[in-house]
Amino acid sequence: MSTSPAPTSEVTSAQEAARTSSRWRELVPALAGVALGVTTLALSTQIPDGAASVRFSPRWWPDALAFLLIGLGVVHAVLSWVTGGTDEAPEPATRAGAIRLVAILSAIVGYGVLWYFVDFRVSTTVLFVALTYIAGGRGWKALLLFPVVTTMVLYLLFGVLLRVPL
Amino acid sequence: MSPLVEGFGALLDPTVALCIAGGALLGMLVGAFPGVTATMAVALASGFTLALDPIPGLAVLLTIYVSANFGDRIPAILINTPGTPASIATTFDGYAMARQGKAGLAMTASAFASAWGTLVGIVLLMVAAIPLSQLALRFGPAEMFALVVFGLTMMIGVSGGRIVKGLMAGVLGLLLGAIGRDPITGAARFTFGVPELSEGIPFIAAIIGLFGIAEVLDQILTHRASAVKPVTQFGRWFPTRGDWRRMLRPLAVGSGVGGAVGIVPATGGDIAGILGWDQARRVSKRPEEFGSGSLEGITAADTSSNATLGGSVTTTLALGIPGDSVMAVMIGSMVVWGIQPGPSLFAEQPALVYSIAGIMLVATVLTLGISLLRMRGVAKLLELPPHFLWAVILVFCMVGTYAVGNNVFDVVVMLVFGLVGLFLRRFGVPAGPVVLGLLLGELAEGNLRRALEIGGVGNIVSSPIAMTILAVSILALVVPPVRAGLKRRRASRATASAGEGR
Amino acid sequence: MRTTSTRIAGGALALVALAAAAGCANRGGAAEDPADYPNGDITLVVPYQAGGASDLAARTLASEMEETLGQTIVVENRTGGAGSVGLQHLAGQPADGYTIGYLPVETVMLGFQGYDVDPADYDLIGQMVSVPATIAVPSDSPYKTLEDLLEAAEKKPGEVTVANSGAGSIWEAATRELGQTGGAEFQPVPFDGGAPAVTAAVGGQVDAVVAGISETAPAHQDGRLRVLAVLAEERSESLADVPTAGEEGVDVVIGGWGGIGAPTGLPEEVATTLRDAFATAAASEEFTTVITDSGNLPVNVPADEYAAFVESETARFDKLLTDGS
Repeated sequence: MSTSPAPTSEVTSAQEAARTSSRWRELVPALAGVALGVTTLALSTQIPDGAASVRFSPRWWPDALAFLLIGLGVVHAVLSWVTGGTDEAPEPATRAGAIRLVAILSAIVGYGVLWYFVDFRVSTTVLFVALTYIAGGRGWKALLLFPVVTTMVLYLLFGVLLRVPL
Repeated sequence: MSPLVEGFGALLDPTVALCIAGGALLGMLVGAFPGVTATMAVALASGFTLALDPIPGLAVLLTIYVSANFGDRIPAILINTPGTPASIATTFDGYAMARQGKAGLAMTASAFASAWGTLVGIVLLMVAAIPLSQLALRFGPAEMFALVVFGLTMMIGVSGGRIVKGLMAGVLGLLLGAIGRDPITGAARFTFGVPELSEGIPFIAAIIGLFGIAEVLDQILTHRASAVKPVTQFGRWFPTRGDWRRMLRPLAVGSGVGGAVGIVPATGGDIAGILGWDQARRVSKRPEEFGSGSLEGITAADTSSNATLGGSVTTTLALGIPGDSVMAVMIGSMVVWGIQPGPSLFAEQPALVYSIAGIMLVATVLTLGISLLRMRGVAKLLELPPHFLWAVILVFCMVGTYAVGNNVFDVVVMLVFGLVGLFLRRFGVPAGPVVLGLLLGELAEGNLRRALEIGGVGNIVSSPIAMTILAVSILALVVPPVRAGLKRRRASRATASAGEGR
Repeated sequence: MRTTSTRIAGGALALVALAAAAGCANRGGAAEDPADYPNGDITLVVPYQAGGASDLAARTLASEMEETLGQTIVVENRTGGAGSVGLQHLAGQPADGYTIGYLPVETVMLGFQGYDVDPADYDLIGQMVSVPATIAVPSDSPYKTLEDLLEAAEKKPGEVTVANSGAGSIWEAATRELGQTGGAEFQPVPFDGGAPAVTAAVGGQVDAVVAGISETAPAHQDGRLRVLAVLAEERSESLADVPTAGEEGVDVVIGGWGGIGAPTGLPEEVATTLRDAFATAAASEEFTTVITDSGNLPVNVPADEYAAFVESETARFDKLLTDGS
């Protein structure tokens, strides 16, 4: 999903290939919109209908929006298929980038767990070390000085100055 | 003239100067910190200022209020993260300018526009507080609904040319805004039994995720070590004569829009910024540049969002009704000081009103000075290599978001919206309409249904203000395509008699 | 780059030292022994945002209690879920007296509105604020007394619109109770907060508004609103010319309130210490002045009386909120 062909050359055939793949690409947001609309309709049946004293049911607004979203999704799918999608493809993702993204997100989840058990100052320093390392920082300045200093700044600002329970 | 002299004279006390200086630094700091809002800073500061006399106390609180609305522009321009919701529209052009190596110009223009907007608001407060506040009282649910409909017409403007996808994003935002307890019956909608969701999606967490976190995640995904090109170019700092001339029109448009929005109770800089940006786009000679680094865009957005400050203070002082959430907190302090906001305040304590305007005036000038002086230092942030920058943005946003309500749930929402934002970005769906939908969704549904509860459809139809605004909304939707069509026809006729009549 | 990093390194040392010092001062090791209580920082959980009326009452009381207890009380705002998030957090804390919380009227209401909040989860320490409900009309309204308004609502059921601060709020419940007792049917219109509701009444968009006394009294005094009745046992000082609903023949007493509680299971010594400190703080001139100035009623209700009150309130809202929807 996150990988797309890299338009490296200026050759027209490559552009054409990008155009075809862009057709398929554009189906993704269209389908996502339709799927979300259908889910909304399904979920909204569970909303309590409310007392009779109200002129509008609480379901009315989300249902109307869901139908609108489904309609727009269909329109988008048709339009982009007919016109052949757009030329502008986002900057392509790299394999290394995808790995980096997953690693960083896991580090953040790990931080959430760690925070329950360890003091904020320790866990945040560890998180900074992990994030900097994953992002490519090396050396004592990046992996020791930077995490400690930034954590201290955060702690001073929030823990001490604003008295947030960290 | 004597209340004016007396009111401004009360500010000559050195304590007041000290309070303004302290407030300015604190305000800029919290403004620049994503997640921490001016409301939170003012609320926490009010714990200390209650011990002070009213004037020095107000000096601290009002200065925080003013300067936070300068500080929040910095992260909006440099890292695409609005420091507070008031700078959402700043990201539209500010970040694009920074990426084009024009961060310096963006920050200077933003500072000047913000200062100008604040000044316009203050002048409004001093000149016409009472009549304007009477106008504000006319805004009931029917009028608010009409205003929100007008706001929804901006969906097209913030879609940046990708209209169908933009509208889908807008509907997504409106749907997200429907999460929570129903505004009229209180029935739980899409809350999945999560108590936090019963108050709806936490807005600040959502915008930080959609803009700032999504940008960082995208960089992480696409960054190539070989193609390292950090933004070391800030371009020129000061606007040239030509720049100033281009900024004139957005300055005027932004002042008008912001001043008007500020008067309406319960609407603030976030809506005004987007509205001002969109109106300036409509009247601009180069509307296509808006959203991809337009000097006019950033000027209009910042003028407009800051011009609301004076309006908010006006409604607060003249009606005793908070103009926005910061003012709600400030009313609490004022009441304890024995200042009762309301129409009688202007008759009984006119000097105090001038003191308040004076404090805001001094705070604006001081903050503008600090902004211009400190900007180069702050902009150095962009010189940090990505491994530092990413870590700083991610962790600072997480801690800042947590601090708002001491609730981990807000942080989770921020990260989830970061992923949603990444998805939207990878598939070319603009994020602006999502935020607009989220901002307006609850207002739209709540006020429509409230108006209908009060008096059925007749309640809306019989309101001249509401009908006027609705008519303007329809014009705003219909006129641009018609005008574009006419222009194209005229152009094709002019080129030749060739049959290219599209 | 080099100059920057040396500068950072220099500043770092200072920061580390500062933070370490602050950290040591902050964590004074809370002792487990109840006989030693209080020996360490006490946390006061407020389930609403900093800056509101509840927050003000809690913070003012906290700074007075600090003097008696000789310890720092840190106010912690845990927001979300109409207050349920903070209340649940409080219920889940150890019952050692080092975490106490602000209990609003919603403590007894939320349980009937689908939230997981139960007043039985808290040991009560005392009640310190009362916010009587008031009903007010625009100053140019044809309704001069509560009777006029009820009569109109009886003649045209569901057509007299009454603003309140939000769906499920105490003021919506008060509107309903007033209608039921007075034999009339109002059309409640929930707004997004108390201020917009009062504004709607001042601007004449609705026929009346039910809100706390602190929100309507200032507008009554400068003539933008006319408060018809205070829904309290006796007349209020700030609205001395306004009758109670009882005087007008409609016997309704309802309103918001705020007290202090702790998770259930407090050791007896700890509870006594806290209750004594509470009573002193709630009686202090500083506290009563701030609360009176903010427009509400300072009270000083001891724990046993407060517990009986909470029980009767629970029974009332069980009836009001379960029947109503």
